[in-house]
Amino acid sequence: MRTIPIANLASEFSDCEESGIVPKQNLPLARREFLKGSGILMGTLAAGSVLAGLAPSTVWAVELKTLSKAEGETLMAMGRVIYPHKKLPDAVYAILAKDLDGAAAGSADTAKMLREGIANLNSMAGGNFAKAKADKRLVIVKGLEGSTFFGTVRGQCVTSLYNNDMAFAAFGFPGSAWEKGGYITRGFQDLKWLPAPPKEASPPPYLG
Amino acid sequence: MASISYNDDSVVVIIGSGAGGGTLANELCQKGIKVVVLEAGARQSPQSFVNDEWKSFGQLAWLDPRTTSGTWRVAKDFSGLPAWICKTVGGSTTHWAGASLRFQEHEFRAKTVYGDIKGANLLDWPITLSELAPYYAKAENKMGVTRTNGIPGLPGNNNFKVMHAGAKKNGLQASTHRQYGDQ
Repeated sequence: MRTIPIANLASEFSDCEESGIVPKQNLPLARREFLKGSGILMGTLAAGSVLAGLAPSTVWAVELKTLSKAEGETLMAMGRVIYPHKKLPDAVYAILAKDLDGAAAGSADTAKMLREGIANLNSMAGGNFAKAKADKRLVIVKGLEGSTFFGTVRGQCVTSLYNNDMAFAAFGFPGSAWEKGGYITRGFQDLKWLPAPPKEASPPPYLG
Repeated sequence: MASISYNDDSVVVIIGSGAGGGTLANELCQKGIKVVVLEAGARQSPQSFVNDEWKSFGQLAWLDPRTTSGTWRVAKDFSGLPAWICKTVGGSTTHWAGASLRFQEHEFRAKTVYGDIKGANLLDWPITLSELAPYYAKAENKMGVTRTNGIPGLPGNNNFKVMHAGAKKNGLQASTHRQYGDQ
């Protein structure tokens, strides 16, 4: 089962085919009320960071429905091993835990597979994977390459870590452009550390 | 929308409103032929388009799971991930920047050029590039393909700059169309 959970995506968008209206994403930063979940992941954004400037509060929290807080933290740590980004705060890796928790809530088989994978990580780390040394965590995760657990977590990373406004802000992706007059004048070719390709290869933008 | 009776056998029914179906429907209509275009997807508008890759994928693409096999990376890592193919009025032209490459001459003769491949039913095309060229020209003009009919090429983005630099270092050419000078 090495797939991005498109099924979730499809159902999320099932109502919008006719109207074309895409529902607003429920980002964890906006989440202030907690239901009776199985665990809550919490943290703070570094004061003065790009993201802190965008968020309504520097405190973030993500509620889990099936996995425990410790299990969520293990998944966050695993996500950081697979896709390590100093620029991304824990709040983004918490989205990975939240999305995997959502998959676990939707399928008992997935929940079992994730729990076993997490327990395996902890046992290989001699107790607590999230608190193990970085080089040890890397060796452990490398040893899992090719497993269903690894494939599921890695696959989920693609959208959970990179397709959110915090990641966009951290990496400098300016996001939706068309309502601001299009992307042409908004930095899509502002890379300066390589020589500009010749005009035959890449002509200047056509501005009418 | 015109109303056409079920027993009208002068009507051409086209399945799909993309680059192929949509273009054909337009040509036929201009010749006065009655056309019904069937489209599985919804009609979108500037008010409903989402300028966000993943949300747009949910809105525009066929979401049926892909079936794939073999050892290539996608089969290994994302075997069920649907391809980014549009299911919407206009088909994939709604998610298209205007670059469209003609087959090259040798690609019409894949069996002759590459030889038989065991287990595959490789064939040469029954037509040549020169036979198809006038129709390519017509379609390119109709669809506004970049680097044809005086339409400029696409400006490369930051990713392209990286690819261009890498290609150059390896003695290759890269362009936002085909190799320079090629059609």
